[in-house]
Amino acid sequence: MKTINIKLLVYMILSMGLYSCEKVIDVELNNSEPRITIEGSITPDLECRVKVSKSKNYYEENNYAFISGAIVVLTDSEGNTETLYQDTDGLYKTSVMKGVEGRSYNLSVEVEDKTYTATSTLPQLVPIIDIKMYHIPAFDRVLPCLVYLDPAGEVNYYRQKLYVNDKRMKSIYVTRDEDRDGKPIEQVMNFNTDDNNENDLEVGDKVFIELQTIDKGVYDFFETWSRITELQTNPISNIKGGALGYFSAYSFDTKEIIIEEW
Amino acid sequence: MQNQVFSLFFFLSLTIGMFAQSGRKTIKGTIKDSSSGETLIGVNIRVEGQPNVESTTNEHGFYSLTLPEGIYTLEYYYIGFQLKQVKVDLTEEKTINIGLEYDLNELNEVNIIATPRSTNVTDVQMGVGRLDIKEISKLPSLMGERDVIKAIQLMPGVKSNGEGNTGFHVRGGDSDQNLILLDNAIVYNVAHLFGFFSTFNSDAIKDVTLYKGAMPVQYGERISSALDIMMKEGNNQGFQISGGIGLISSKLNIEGPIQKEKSSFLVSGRRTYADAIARLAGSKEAKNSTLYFYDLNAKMNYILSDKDRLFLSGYFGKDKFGFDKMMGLDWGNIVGSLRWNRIINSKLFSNTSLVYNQYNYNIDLEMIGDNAAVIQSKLQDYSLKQDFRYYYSPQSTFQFGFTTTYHDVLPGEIKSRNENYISSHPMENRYSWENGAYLSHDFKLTDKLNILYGLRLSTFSALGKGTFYELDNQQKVIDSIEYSSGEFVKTYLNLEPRLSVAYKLNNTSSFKAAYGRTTQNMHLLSNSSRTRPMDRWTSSSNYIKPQIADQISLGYFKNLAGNEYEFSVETYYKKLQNQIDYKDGAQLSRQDIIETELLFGQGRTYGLELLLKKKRGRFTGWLGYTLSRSEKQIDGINNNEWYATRQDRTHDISLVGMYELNKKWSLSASWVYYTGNAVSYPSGKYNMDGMEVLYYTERNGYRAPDYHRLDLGATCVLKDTKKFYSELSFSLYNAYGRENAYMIDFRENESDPTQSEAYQIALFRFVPSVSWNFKF
Repeated sequence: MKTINIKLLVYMILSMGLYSCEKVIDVELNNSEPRITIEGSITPDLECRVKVSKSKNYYEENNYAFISGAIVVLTDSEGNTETLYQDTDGLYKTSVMKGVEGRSYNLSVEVEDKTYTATSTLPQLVPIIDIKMYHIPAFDRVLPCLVYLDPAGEVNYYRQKLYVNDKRMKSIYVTRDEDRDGKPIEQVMNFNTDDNNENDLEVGDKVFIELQTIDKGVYDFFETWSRITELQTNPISNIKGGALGYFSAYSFDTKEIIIEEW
Repeated sequence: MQNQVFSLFFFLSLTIGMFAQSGRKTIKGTIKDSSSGETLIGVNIRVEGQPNVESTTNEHGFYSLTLPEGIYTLEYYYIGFQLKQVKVDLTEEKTINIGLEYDLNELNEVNIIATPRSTNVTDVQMGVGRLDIKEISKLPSLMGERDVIKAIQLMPGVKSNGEGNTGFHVRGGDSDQNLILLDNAIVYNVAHLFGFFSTFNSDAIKDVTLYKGAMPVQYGERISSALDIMMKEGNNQGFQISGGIGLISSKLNIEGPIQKEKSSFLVSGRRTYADAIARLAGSKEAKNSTLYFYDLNAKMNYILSDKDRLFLSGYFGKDKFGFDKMMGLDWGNIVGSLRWNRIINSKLFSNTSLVYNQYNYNIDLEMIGDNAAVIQSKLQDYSLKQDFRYYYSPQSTFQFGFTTTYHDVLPGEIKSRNENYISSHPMENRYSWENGAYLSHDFKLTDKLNILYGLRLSTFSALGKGTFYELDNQQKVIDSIEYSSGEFVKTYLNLEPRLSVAYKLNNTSSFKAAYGRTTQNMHLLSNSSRTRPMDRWTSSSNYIKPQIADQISLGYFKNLAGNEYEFSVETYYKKLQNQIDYKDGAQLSRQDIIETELLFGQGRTYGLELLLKKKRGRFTGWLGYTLSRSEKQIDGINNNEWYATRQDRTHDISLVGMYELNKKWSLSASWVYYTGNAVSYPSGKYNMDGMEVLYYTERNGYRAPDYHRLDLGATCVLKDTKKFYSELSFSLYNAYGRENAYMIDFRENESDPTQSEAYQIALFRFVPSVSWNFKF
């Protein structure tokens, strides 16, 4: 919604023959105490992966060292438990436990004398039915439209990851089935050209979408992250104990199409 | 405290009753502009040889003056008009209605016989800003749209909501804390085109007054300020057509008598056509999109008898904005009032009004299942207001009355057009009943000391039908109670004492002090820094308490060079209770139980305002300076410590000048400079899913960059005869092209993703405009 508002506004200004300009500026920012960040995920038939790192000052380089020596333990609702090992790529992984739909997972991370915990439930997979291209005549552009059927009688939360020509688009997409329980969902995704070197979608582009079914805690994290420019507060984390980040148990489906003439 | 104020009040009322009134006679009347028949507000009536006896016309042009029997010369002063003197042999009650003539030689300073009295020093009320509509029409404008609200933002103590935005903050308050009245009716949303223009078409407006301190008792329901805007009544002498053609909009104003000197009407319309121009220019985008707003002001008035006058005014405005197959959005206000002025006797004036107002928006969700749903919201008020003025003596005026309002608020609900894709999502209307009863007494205790004291009793009742919720201290719902239609859910009662004191040091200077309490029960919820049409109004409930403000202010007022210059310095401190802010990640628009997203606490604002104004002559204008602070303390935000609000701005300067070069050309310029508002910037970052996430450590801990801008304007009179007048008006907005930050955001550098950077978006550099205005 954020990008769409700014775009509309800019369009509005341009339509009045006016000027708007973007430029990089110097803004002096305070330093902050590094805070533990945790990003964990588990999905059907794959191991659980957890990244433990720290926040940085804003103008520092974008490389984040993985923290070693953390005790990371995964427990599921069936009573299974496993301590994760740290792989050579820096991630903590399970060697035995894999994601199973319907189970809930507890993650515990003990690092630098503090323990952080999170719980996430792995929902049923919702398959992608189709990806269509949605044409907007006012801008003569197309947007990807993801089609899936919401399971009736339960509250569902979704997250989408969009790739164009194998490049991950940075915009964050989440939806929930409020007022659409059990109905076919045709979700038009607001494609932001900033994610794609200012290029709009064109005929021949490869569009790949991953549809994740997530739980409420994970939805809240991504939903508030998607509004961060407007809210100017940290995304709501489902991790207890004061770490930044999220732990997501999710199921997913993917689909790919090539854009045709519209 | 409240008890003491109460006793003082009654004591004073009784004492005043004991003054004898024998052998006194009253002169009353209405003062008009003789060329149009419009009543004049704030005309000063003095008695020759008696410097301490005076009266002023009220907002309906009425005055009343009681004097001992005798022979007097009354003098009627109004800026821009010729002084009128009337000899009276006062042996009986008299009605003297006066028509004042324009002073065509206003520029020729030699011609001014006497200096008009300036209310700057004499008026007991402080923290008042009055703008002359003629003055507003001379100011430079954005895209040729003269704007009342933008002119007000140039006054000290008033801050704009952002670049080119009509939202405003008074003395550190939120933008929803301003009572904005158009002919007695509240206007809930004053924004056109996302706030770049205001809903007030200056062609239809007669008078604008802003109260930023202890406001008069007839005003309530908002805690920061009252902005009282009166529409013109319409010329009852002859037909007049005026209008303007600008770059983005055109205006047409028709007024005239229905029955000469008995009744008149005014219809004023304005519509933008930026989209039409873009379409003509062959813009592909414009072909399948809509973008315009329009306004229609209409007013009729009938003089029923010597004593009765009836006014019917209406305002309709709408913004339409849409992109085919994507989204549609429209919003607008409908405001109507029926007003009855009655002169009950020579001392008692009554104003009764019935008011309806509505604000609504509709969003077409075109991207959902082929336009399957629409979001609709509607806010409606039905009010009855009764106001009395009792002109007991030249030293003593009473005002009393009541208001009662029924509020009906429907937050945005989803209406499905195709249940296959989306279900309707009804929202509960919130009903409430708001009342105010007030009494005040303006009393000249001595020649030097003037006191205005009063009390307003306000009540607010949240009513059924509806479900109300009990929440724990984590804002989690623990219980819900169903109320049936009309059932009282919760009633709040507040006493609002108001006191203003002016002490005249001499004829050209005075000290003033004021205290006032105000309360507010309708709250606009918005966690974005800019106001938007979809922002949600919510009323006080069992959980949301009334906002309360206590303000004290002190001021020194001085007139210089025969009242040609006015100078004032005012300082204020405001204490606020039950202030609202939002939980991290609050979702306000589609929220059934809005209370779960809110946090409550206290606030304080304080500041110093300087104003030097040149009122007359070829060169007029003002220099305003504000030094201020606005803070909140809310449990759950910034470790429960005090933090700056978004409107907190330390220094604010505005410099406005208008110069009449000759009969043909007049020039104007305005320059604003302010230090940045409090903003939230990240103090760090982290990485999630391969992307940068901004890490915030506090709210509003940073300052936006300084802002400054110069606007230039020029008006060239093309033709000025009795039959036809036309002028060309030029403006250059942001004349030296400063790139002021409209928005600042942060991102990974595109070419080097290992680095992060801040960037800004600036709007409006060198915006020239020209418009042609005419009148015949």
